[in-house]
Amino acid sequence: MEDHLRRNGFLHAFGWEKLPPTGHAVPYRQDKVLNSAALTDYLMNSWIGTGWVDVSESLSRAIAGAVCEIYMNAHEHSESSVGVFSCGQHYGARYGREAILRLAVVDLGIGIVENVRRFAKNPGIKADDALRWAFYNGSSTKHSDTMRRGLGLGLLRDFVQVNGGSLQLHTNDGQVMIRTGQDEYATRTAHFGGTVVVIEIVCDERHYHFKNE
Amino acid sequence: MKISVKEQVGPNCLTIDDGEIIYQLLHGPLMAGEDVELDFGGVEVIASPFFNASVGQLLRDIPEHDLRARLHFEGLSIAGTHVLGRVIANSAEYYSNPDMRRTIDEILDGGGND
Repeated sequence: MEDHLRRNGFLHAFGWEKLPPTGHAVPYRQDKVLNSAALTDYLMNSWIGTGWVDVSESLSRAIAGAVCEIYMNAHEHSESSVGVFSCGQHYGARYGREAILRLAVVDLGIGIVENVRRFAKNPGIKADDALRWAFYNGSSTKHSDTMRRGLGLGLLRDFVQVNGGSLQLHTNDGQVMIRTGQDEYATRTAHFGGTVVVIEIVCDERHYHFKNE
Repeated sequence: MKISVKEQVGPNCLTIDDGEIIYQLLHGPLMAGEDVELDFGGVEVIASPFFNASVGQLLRDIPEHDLRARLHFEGLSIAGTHVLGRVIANSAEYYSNPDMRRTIDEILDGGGND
């Protein structure tokens, strides 16, 4: 009985604990502006910190930090008038496939490929080349004379590859698929007006650790 | 000198603005040759823009060897150390190699000329 009352949010409304996830869904949310505290709370309490992923607390925080940077990039670069949307899902192990946890982060802004083309003042850059540049450590369309930037996508790629998960990115006419030991960049005929990032991590801890952990 | 990151910024250190707070506290003492300890106790989530602003930016004025000798990190997780290492490597390259910007741009030029 208590479990049901917690899961439907009844007890939460009366001050009990945090609101539990609804089944295996990571709740939908929309961020019109960046709210660091709310975002980290969402990632730690509704996504990676829910207990679905069996990794160290240190590593789950690191993943949350890298994903936060995806949101920050979207807010800073995309010019999306509706902000950033996200939701996700936990899929249990079945049919020989391991349990996985997904999160999709979407904006309806200018798109990464178009942003790079504008930055380079070269509309002829192929989408796959623009995306290779965006994933290159230190690449950022926000120039600064005082500091180096542009590590977010590369760090997220590091974490995903260590885990054996995947990172998909669809933006404008470009697409990236990152898996362990494999980066695929492609120019597509289809076009998406914005950016979709899908992070998929394997829930089993055997797949996720740093060498000295 | 010891600085508690959580006291200055809070449990989440994500943005460039968060990092600027720490940078302003570090720059003077480190330039004066003091040793400084950055204590990450109680810090929960860190993103690279924070380290870019707080630590990476120091390499503009302080050589990497001197920075590593004077700035000490306490309570930083292995994963946080990984992010910090990437930031220091990239920033050191950026400030020490004036051709770096050109190297990056060559990737774009190559794509545009295909």
